[in-house]
Amino acid sequence: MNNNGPYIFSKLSTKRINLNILLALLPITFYFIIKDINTLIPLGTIVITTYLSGILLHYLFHHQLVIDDLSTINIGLILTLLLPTDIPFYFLIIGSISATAGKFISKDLLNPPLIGFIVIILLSLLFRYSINFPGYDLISIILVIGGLIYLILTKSIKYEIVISYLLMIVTIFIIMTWKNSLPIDNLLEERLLLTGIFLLMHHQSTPITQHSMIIYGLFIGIVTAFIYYHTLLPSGIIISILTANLFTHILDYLILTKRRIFIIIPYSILLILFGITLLTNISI
Amino acid sequence: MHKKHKLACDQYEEIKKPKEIYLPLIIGNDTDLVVLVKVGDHVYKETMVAYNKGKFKSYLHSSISGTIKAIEDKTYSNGQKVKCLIIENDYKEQVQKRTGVKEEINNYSKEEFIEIIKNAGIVGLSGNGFPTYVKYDTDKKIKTLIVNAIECEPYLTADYTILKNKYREILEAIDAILDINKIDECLICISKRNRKLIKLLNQYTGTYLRIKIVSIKNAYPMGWEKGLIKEATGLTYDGLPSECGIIVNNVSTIYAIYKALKSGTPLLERIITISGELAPKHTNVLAKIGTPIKDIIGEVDSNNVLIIAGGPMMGHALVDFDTMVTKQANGLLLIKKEDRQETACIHCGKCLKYCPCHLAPILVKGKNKDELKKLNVDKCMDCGLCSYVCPARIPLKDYMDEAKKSIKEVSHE
Repeated sequence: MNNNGPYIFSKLSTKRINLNILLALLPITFYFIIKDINTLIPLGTIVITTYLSGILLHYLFHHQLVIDDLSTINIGLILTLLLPTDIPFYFLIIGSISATAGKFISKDLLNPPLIGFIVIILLSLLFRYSINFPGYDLISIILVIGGLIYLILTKSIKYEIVISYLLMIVTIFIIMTWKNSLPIDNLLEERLLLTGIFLLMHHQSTPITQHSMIIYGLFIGIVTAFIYYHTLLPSGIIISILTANLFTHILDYLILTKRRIFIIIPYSILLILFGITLLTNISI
Repeated sequence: MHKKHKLACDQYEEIKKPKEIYLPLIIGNDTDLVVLVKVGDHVYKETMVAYNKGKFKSYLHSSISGTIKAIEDKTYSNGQKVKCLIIENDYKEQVQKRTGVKEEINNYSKEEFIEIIKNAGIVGLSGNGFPTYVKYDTDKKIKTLIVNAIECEPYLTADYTILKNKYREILEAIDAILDINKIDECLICISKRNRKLIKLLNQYTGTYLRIKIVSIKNAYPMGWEKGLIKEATGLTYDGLPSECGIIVNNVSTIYAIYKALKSGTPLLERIITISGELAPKHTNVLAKIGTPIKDIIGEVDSNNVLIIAGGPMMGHALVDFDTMVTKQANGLLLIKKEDRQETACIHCGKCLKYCPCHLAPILVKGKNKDELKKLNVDKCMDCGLCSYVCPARIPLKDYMDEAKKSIKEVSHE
């Protein structure tokens, strides 16, 4: 044993964080099952596949992934909650394996449920299968927000990212739709709110400094809103998270080496992007 | 644990006089001492037995009267083997005649004051062991004396106990220090949770008009000098507190100064906290410097018990239980031996979020020396908070220590 301290540790271990995430996801999962019993099919398929592929890949890659820390189960749960129940069986298996494999191959640079989600979308395009993503209802949103509050209170997620994302996307939606209706309908219908919360719970692929967390959340919010309002691309949240993941580590490093300019530049870019997102709409 | 412990620590106990003491021949980290006694010599309690040759001279005194039995290597609280004077107690507590003690402790000149605390071997009792007189031996104007009565680590209650039991003497000493050194004011910093103690001391601020009681938020590492000064005064500095006209002394150090001024007594004993889940009872004891720890805690099962000298965050696990109470030792913790099961980093960022020095411990591993400099690792104050909060139990403090060492090596080259 090392002769240096500390000799006491915070109770919040990796295992406990993953357990908290699981507990936060359980109410919405049960609600989905109650609403549609068929949810059990993708749920069972995905969770079992991610867990087993996690064990297999652990031995293949000799990577220091703790398979008993519930993280693979959480990946499976999040992926299930993003998908409709009528997805073909083999899509689910390939998607789940891709999510776990993505975790290993990208060394946690990319968000695993997001990788699984993208692979399933690509499969649907390849096999010309039309996926009908259902919108979330008000009870779903209450359950997810409840889970989010639990995770924030137990310090199990980086709340800065989720809060800055939610603030940004809600602000843009309010500004863009203030003349017509409340933005809540659009947000629920387009699954941007809850998908964002689920995907941004991931620790490994997100930044670690306070500034980069806020920049990351705001960036994803702006880009998601921009894609939603000004392009024909579906699921803007996926593209925005993937883009943000690419600069996560470099932004962290630049900010940590105390180059203030690297704090100012991203915020300036965000301001410009925010302006573009809003102004383009006005000119239209 | 803490509430229960606090109740038990309003008082302190005096332990049975030791059969022998191991007086470590070390001052701060300096082991290059001039030893004034030899094996077979008789020493009085308070006899000066050694001093260091370094720039900041300090002295060691025998805390008992008796005979020098041997000079042997023993394990010091930091794990290092250090030569010790083994003094056999004759239980007579004979003291040499004291000279130069004044009736009124405010009547010393600054030069006399410095000489007294230097000769008394008074060092910082909150952990670093730096000679206290050096802080006062300056031509710069000192505006504020900050008395640190905040426990520097969890579990420890030694400072609380000494302030609770000796507040009259401590207030008298502070008043004298302010007079002698022409210091404008004193801030006694106490943790917010010690409301009763704050209330008690506030009753005396009408008598001692230059002394103010400052309640400080209850957070670790609030006992850290830099953090404490910022919290109490709002001031920040790069090098030493004297840059902004401040001196910081631990409350136990102030009590040692009181004894030196009042009766010419050198630093011979101190209050230490005995705590931890496996401690027979949570208490504070008054122990003579050099007392073998087995005389305080009895026999323990070394296979299951981990004994920590100091607090659980910055203390040292004792590899050898045949060690002693030192001037810096403010606690002895007995906790369960557990293996730290390290897992992969989950990139949670908690080590950055909680670091009081705003560093990035997780990025330190595997970096070259230039990169380490950019990450300001030399600013780390060893609080261990990064390792404490890490959910993956990564020994980040060890990485920081290694990084600091490699930076130091570069600067020495």
